[in-house]
Amino acid sequence: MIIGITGGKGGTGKTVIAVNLALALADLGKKVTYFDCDTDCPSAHIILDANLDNELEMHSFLPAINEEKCKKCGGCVANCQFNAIYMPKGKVPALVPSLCSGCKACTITCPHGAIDSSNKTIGWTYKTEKYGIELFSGKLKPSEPLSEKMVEAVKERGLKEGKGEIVIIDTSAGAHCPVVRALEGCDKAFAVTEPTLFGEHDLEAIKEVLKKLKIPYDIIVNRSTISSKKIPNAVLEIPYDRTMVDCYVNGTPFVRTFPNHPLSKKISDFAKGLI
Amino acid sequence: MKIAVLSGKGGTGKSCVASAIAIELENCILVDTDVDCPNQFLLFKGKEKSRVIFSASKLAVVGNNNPYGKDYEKICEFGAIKLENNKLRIIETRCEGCGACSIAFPELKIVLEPRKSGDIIVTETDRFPLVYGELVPGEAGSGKVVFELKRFADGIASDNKIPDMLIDVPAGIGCPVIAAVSGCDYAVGVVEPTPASIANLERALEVVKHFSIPYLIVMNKTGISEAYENTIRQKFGKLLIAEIPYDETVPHMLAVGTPPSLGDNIAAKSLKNMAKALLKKIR
Repeated sequence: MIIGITGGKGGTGKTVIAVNLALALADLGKKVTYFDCDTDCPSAHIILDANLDNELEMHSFLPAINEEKCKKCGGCVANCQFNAIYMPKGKVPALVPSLCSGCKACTITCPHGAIDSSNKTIGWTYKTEKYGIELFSGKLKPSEPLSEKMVEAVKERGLKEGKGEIVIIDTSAGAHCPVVRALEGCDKAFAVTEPTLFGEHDLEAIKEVLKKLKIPYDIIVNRSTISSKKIPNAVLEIPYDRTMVDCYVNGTPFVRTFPNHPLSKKISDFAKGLI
Repeated sequence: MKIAVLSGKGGTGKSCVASAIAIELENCILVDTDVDCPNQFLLFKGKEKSRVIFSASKLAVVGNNNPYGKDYEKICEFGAIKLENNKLRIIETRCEGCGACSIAFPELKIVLEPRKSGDIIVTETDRFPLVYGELVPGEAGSGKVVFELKRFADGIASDNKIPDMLIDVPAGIGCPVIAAVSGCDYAVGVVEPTPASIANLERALEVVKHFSIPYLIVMNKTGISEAYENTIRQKFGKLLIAEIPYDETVPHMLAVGTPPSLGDNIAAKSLKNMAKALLKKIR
């Protein structure tokens, strides 16, 4: 079973809930694998106080113009939808690496076989284990734009090397392509929000994404007591709790450290309902 | 002057800090570049002056769907082509509109058609013009929409002789963030005293440094952790220009859409002082 944890707005507590849900599921005897698919700003390892181990460098295809074979026909320039190739006057085409999506349209279009294969580093993936949870994470290289490729890299590695019977996928904030990549293939998703106008508005965007992907979802309201606003139809409401905040700050696993806390029991009961 | 407010991690208070600076600036335009989850329009309500459909990418559409004898799925680097019942299906949420398939399989007469990425909206609030986007949920091309938003804002600013632009940057460090930050004169990093926020602010600052943009730091929600508050003070020294205490009345203001610097609570006063200190520093 693959469960996605998402939400639209940032900072609503996606990762805190995903981590504690993973721990609660592990406590119930399930083997859990966790994919931190926020490769822009990963934080599951920080909340779990885990080191990022087993680093693998990830690359994306980059064309390399073979100057001897190139006839300067301009086909690659005309067919690049991302404006990553341009033709300096009288010279062979030149590249703007940061704009290249790695689609290979240039290679396919070149009639002279003048485009060799090169690559650029777009980030790194990691595999680690903490508190009996297998954790796969990734880091996008700063100033590289290909977040969605890094998300795919984490998922690919996690699906190949992970052994969990339950996979928790923690997405980044927003409702754009890296979030879509993270959610694809989930059997079920939870949208985590908070009772503010921002949380309520952004929830609508993520609901649209989940409907498009045909993923059944439910709503979790975190910090439900910070205002008098009500977000309807939540399957789980977590009130603002100072102990939980302290655990978040200190990298201690809340449901493990305070197993008798009413919120630990609530999360554990919720986890039971999932299996 | 163009000022970008960013944080890497979401939910640290970027929009609150940005709204406070925009209020303090006498003559500015506010650009909300969080196009998948825009929020400033909830704080600054105004009359919609224009709404323009924007297309940032294309979609492959198969003209002659009689595939035969080729490895059709493999050509697409994004996994957007599926062969089902001997027909090609383009998975819209995966298609980047690169056209590799149309070049590789001319017999299928695949054409690239413009797709709607979202709307670009300009509103006139009682304080300043606000430019924001509404990305079609799940669409790619958010970076291009952000570039277009900024181009729109540049036009309005020059037409109306508005000297300052305040840019509210989305969470993350990927393509919309790169698009939002590039070309700015100053960046303001918002951080809360938690290890996740500090680590991800530093990742966002890597992007800022990549563009050689000078930056200052605002610490939000102090009172959560003295240890990490000290970490931030030591790490950023004089770059840290303001500290805003955690104030539980802020969510109540955000629940009804009041800009948080307009109250008379502790956080509101700190936000106002922060904006004053920032403008003094960079002017």
